[in-house]
Amino acid sequence: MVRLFPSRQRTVAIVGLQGHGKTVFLASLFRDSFFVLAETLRPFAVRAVSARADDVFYGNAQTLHDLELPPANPRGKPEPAVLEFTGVPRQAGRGRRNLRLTFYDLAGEVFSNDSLAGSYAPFLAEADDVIFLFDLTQPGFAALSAARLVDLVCRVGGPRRRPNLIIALSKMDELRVQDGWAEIVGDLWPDAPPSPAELPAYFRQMDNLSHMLRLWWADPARQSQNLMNVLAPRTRFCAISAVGHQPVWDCARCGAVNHGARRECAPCLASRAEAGLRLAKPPEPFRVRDPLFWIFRAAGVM
Amino acid sequence: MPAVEALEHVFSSVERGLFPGQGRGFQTVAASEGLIGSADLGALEEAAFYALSRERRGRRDSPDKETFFRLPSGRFAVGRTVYRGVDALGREGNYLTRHLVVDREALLELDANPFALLDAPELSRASPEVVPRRLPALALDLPAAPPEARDADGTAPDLLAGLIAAIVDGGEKTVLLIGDEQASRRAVRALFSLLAQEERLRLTFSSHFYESHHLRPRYALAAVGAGSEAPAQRQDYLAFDLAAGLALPARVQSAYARWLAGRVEARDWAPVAELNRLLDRLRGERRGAHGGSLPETPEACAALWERAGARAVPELLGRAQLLKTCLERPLATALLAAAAPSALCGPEASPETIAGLLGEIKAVVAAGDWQDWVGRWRGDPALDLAGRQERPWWRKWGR
Repeated sequence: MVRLFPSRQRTVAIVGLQGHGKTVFLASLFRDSFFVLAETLRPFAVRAVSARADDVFYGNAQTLHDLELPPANPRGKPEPAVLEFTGVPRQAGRGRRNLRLTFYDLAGEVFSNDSLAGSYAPFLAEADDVIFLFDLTQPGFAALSAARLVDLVCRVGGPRRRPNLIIALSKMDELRVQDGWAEIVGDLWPDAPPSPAELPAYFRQMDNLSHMLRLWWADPARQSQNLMNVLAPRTRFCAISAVGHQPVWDCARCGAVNHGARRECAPCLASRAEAGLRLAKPPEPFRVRDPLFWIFRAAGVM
Repeated sequence: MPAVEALEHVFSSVERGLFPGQGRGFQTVAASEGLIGSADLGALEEAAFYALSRERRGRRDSPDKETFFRLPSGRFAVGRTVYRGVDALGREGNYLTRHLVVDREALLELDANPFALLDAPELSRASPEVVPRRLPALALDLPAAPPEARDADGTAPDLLAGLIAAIVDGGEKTVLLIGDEQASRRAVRALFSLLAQEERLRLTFSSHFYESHHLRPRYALAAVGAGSEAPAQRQDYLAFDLAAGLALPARVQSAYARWLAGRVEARDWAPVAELNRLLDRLRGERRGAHGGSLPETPEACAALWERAGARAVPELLGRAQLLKTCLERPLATALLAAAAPSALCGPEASPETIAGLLGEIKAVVAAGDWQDWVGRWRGDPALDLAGRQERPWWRKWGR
């Protein structure tokens, strides 16, 4: 049967390897919708519909607000976290639409093989949108591991599904000063949320950025042409930073504040061991809303 | 001191686990050879799940989680999960789960008491070595300390009675204890002390069930610290709020549960231990000479019949007075199939008792069964006695 009207409910799977920022991204996305978009896109609003959403979104947003990072997801079968977005503005025209999104956030290690993914992420088979989060700063991350993950999700999701794919590069704050990235995202920094009138321009930016990122992936130096050939032409690319700066940790021995990526204290070389990461200042996310806007567009509400 | 062999499983978030292909994150760190490649390993990994509510994280309150559950192979696992702070990436939320897996026979050696394993030093020591490796089977010498019914003294009788009814009556729903986790643990230990071995094996539990609804089929009983931690799918649970006063449910179907509830309310522990020992012996689970005895009450008789079925018949033979009070058709039919009239009534029964019992049996069994039995045992003294005691039909009319 042909669907005449787009559904007002979609299922979104967040997929990424362990530590690539899925949970922080969701918390930051909610925070951006709640604090920023609710202001700039008035009367746009977001609310938690399911009990799980209360914890995943409000709870973790509060954690970020407290300058802490959400805890690691335990390996379990996640319950759906449903958000309702109301008053989503149209890019052209005056109408406003509502949309319910069901998110699933789970531990990244379940994407290590088909058996685990099939067991812990059965929702992949019904996902309308799949957001892949890749953290290029993680040691060992390469096009091969990205392609492997995309293939795994396609296998587990089943051959009949053709979900809307969004490839997002996370932790852009750490990369933006590096060669190559400065010209792609440098001009877009810092983040500027759009008003309804600015939406067309914002979407042009999103299109341009997606195009630039596709070219970045297709660069022979990335060795990811095979992945690009596999992905549907309508696949969207984003570059985001969920908190806008690197978390830090405090050395238990000398009290020095170290960047999160360091395993040893810079001054005294003590191991990080039991020290937890924290935020040094309030989050300043960068384009964290782009994957959400791509979903809004795919759903036909924006 | 029973010696049992247990398989081990260790699960946590680590840089590199037992299977390096899995990369970083929550995974099996170490496991006994007997678990590797089995369906049990997946079940153990799934059951290791541990989450803390935001409120608990704020309070730095991370209770240990104790579990007892059945594995796909039919073996049993007991586990303890402890919070472990940060993972390799510096994020909070890491935990360490340690499981011991034993087969049914080994657990019966321990009186079907999972706390014998949970309290063992091998499982209770704080932080075992978290190093990827294959482990040998573990030989455990555990003190023989079967749970005593008097262990239930510290738990409110109405709560215990309600829990027993909910657990023994069974059904699809998982019993959910809501409230202070220490009180929940005491209640679970008390329950184990009050049940026979087969019922203990069915009493699978998790002492920390936050966000664990997906694991519900594994557990007959689960506990959460507060109502806010209880699963949203309340229709799948039979909730007991420890803070609220509880009463025995109006309709308790199980005769065993009704009898136990009565003993709990009377704080009368000795008959509980006796009947459970008898049940264990009749069901072939308890070895040894001493096998318990049947308390001389109709309720105990009904409980024994309900739990042991036809295996209870030899225990009931010769107890004419008791049998008269608890006869039902299935029991009466089983008695007819098992014994001659004299053996059924016992040597010490008075003629009136014999006549009364046989009259009762005749009234409840099918007419054909009664006639067959009477025909088979024609000439039996008890039958003759009953015949003489029975008034002819014309006398029944006389006043």
